[in-house]
Amino acid sequence: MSWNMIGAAVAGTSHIASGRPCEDALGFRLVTAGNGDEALLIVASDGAGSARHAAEASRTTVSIALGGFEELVVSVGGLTEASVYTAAGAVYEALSAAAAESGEALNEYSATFLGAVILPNKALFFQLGDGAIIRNDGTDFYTAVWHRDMDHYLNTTRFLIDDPSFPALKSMLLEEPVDELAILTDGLELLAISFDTNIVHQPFFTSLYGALRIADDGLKRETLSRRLAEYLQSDAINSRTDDDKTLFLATRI
Amino acid sequence: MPDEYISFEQIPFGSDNFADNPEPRCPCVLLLDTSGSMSGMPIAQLNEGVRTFRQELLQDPLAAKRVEVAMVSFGPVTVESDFHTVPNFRPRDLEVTGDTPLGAAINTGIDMVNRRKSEYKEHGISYYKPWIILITDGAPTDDWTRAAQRVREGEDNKSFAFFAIGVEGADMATLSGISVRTPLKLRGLMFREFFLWLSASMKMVSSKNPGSNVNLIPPSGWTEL
Repeated sequence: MSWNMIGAAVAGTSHIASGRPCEDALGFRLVTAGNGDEALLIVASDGAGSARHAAEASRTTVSIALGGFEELVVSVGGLTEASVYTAAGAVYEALSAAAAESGEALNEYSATFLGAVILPNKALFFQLGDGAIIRNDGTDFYTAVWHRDMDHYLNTTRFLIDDPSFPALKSMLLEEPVDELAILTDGLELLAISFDTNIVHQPFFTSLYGALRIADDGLKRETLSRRLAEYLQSDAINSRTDDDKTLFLATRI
Repeated sequence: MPDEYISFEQIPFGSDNFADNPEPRCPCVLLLDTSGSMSGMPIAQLNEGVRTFRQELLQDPLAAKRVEVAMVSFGPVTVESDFHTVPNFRPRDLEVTGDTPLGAAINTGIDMVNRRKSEYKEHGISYYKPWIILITDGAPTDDWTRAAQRVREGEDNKSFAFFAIGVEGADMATLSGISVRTPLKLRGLMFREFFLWLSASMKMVSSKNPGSNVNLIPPSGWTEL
């Protein structure tokens, strides 16, 4: 059992126009857990457009959290919901240290935090702020792990550095196999989820997974990775969103 | 082998079939003083400023679809234009009329914002924090204590952001008593510069600029501060 997976984080047209870098970050890796199981780790982060160090914050969030989860999975092998708080705490410390070093306010390092740790018969999801985690529910129907909160303003999301006790952090531990999942930042939410019903827009994902499932060698996966980045920068998508956008897709093979 | 990869390249990947969501909306109410003291150049410059505002927003494709402008003049309090996206916001030129019922104008603006937000929710439209912009050159001629209280509550509950702009002659002390954010004094008749700043700020907000606070572009040029 392993995974076909691809992912890309690309700059939105508004970032390109104003000379800002891509402030989304994405990281994923396969590691061997303490008990020999294979674990898939994914972390994505969307740096706040208003924060001066947004790009650094999202990159730091991804690298520190991935490292934290890897350590937890490899050493103990016992994944719990507390693991999410441990990883978030490590990110908070790293961002605080960066703020202290640059002499800037901590909120200049505002970024969201979302992702998953997938073991053969267990899945841990976490999310703080905007974005969405989508999974195949086992019947080829794609569903969001958490639904959007319609009550909040689009420009007032939550960030990891808001509060070191992480009251806005959601986590969910499933004791069942998850065979397909996607993670996206809010630049794509408008395209991938119907807001009035809160249902995942199925055609958006079925076409992507159709190709990913049959990418049975490295070259095909490389081809798909490139096509994913091209797709995210296509006119079809850019006419609907000018924000940075991140998409990660994995299917078990 | 190359053939296989060429064919793999042709496999459909990524659809252009997207969720049919309405564009998120960014509501903005202009509360504009048309009391007698605004006659002459001030009202002409204000009208010119509103036209500039519309023109600037139209040039930004996303802002043109997302920003919704409503316009209220006072006094008497008149809804000149209810919420419309920028292409459909076509206000008539304002003329000077009566006194300065500031309290009533603010109450109307807050009611309009609240109503618009319920309409968004009803229709599954996501939205940005509403903005209420007050521009006045005088002192209130009605009781504004209730309006001031509602502004404070609205800011506390993050229901909207309220900005007060004083034109020459404005009672800045009273404006400070109403607005939680420090009121800004317009330099001379720089309405055009003010509306250029406002449209730039709205463009920034409507292109999704997350932040726990409304992050304004620093006012430059048009304010006396």
